[in-house]
Amino acid sequence: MTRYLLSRAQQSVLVILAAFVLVFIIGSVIGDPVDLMLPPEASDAVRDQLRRSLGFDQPLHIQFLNFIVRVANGFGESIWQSTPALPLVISRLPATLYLAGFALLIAVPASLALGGWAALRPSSVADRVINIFSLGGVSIVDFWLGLMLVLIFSVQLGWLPTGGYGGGSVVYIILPAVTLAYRSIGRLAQFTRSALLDEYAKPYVVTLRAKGMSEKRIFLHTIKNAAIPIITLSGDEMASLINGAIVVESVFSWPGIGSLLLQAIGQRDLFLIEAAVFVMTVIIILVNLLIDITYAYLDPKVRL
Amino acid sequence: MALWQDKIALLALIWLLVVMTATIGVDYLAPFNPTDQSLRMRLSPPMTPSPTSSLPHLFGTDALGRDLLSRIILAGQLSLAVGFSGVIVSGLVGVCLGLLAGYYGGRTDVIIMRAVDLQIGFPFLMLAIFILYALGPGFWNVVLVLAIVRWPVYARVTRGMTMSLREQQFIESAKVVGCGGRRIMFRHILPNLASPILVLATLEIARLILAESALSFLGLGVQPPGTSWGRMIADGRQYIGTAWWLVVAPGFFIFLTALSANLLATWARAVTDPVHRWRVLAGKRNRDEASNQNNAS
Repeated sequence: MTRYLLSRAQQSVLVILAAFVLVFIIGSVIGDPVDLMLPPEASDAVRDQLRRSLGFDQPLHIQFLNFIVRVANGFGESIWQSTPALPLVISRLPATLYLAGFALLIAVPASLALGGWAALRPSSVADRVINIFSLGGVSIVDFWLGLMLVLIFSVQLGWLPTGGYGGGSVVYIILPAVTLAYRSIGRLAQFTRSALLDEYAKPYVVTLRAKGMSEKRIFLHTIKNAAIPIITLSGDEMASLINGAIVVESVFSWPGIGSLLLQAIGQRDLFLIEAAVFVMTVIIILVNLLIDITYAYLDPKVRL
Repeated sequence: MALWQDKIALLALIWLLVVMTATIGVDYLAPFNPTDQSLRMRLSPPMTPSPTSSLPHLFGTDALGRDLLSRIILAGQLSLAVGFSGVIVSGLVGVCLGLLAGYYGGRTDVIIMRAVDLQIGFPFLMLAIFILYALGPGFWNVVLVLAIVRWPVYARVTRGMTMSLREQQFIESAKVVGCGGRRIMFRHILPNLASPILVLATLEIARLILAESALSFLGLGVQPPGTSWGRMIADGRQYIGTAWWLVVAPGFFIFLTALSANLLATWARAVTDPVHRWRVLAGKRNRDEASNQNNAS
């Protein structure tokens, strides 16, 4: 077990290092950092001056060393906010995690109910409706769904606020969390259905039926066996919910990292963008690590 | 389970064909010229009769008085083009690397799969946003970025299937006859992978259309005067209180198109994958037997 944990943790460290290098490559090699920071109409003199003052005229390996120093100092000063970028990003982290976590709390029970219902009646009308509903989750544009919900529940009915944080009160989080959760509900419900169908096709179910066990209790048996992959996938969903929050946050002006990133792009604030991308990536890598560790505890086969 | 028996899959196919035909033939098939402006007609609600044509503005008009349906058909060109080109580029790269990794194994496999694992660990939309910001917006940049972030999906699937095929007798025979590695991979292994890869590609088209609209919505994708479905939603957002159709209609097109692609892929998987089909049937049979028993007792 320890060996598995160590190798898994080592892998995560490698991915984080890769993310670090990648942020440098994308920001300083693929894109010209000066172009990325200045508006297109800036004069050549201004460009040259900025290039020299930030050390972007140096050879690449020196630039990379500068990058390491800059990251150590909080990814450099955000041009837009005039404070170090990293603390700014970290201060937005709780809002993003709160939104993604709330969405997961909606998604898991909803998809268990839908997937379970569909698996108990394969090829029935209910199964088909649930199938299309879950395919809808992976086919819908989340920001569009968000706008539609705003249109219906805020503009037309006036039940819920159109956006904002509202001190984290439940009224404010419902619409963004539902918007974010729908895609996960779709994926998880389909997965739950097929995991349960797999179980129902196994011989032990025949045995249970043969000895006269009620369908209700058989369901309890199958759901327990199907639970492990479902739990893993729910963990994966947490990672994709954090990822999806980028767009949804901007629709509901939710003060998380996603809307910060988009504002930073609008302000051409390269250092802030780099910090936001790096923090988001690290969070998702850590979530993935956590899932794998949980999985190893649940399923001894993985540890071997 | 032929296509005409599965009515929903058939509808999905028809919708995709209609959208593709309409977007390709936008000059002939759109009810209005998508760039014709009319300030008098601006922000007209759906079904407003047009003063210049016998056809009404089915979905209303936008802030410049252009016919919304015609705009949507025009925008579909770019959305579908990004979806298809992205799938082709990422699929080519991913399938080739997956074949190499699965067939040769050893160090080739380790290097390619390490790259795949690395990238799958990354948040894909985040990566796309950042690369696109660095590259600057534009059609081919969007395609390139989507290819960069999505190739590992194909590589993973292809590698897994190649590894199991590699051990089979017909590959052994091909080797004995003297076929080279390239010939075996592309003439003997690849044809056997065609249907799962096509299913995956169909799913990916839906995914890329959604990703493109997200990127365009964030202002990183297609730039004016070009337009795509995501861009139209972004443009219409400021009118959401007064002219809801500007947001509702293009989003509905994305939804129906992506849903159709997903439905079609699900259908194709059920038909081409005997294991999957058997599982559904087995589940149903057990259930039927159980309910028969319950009825009897």
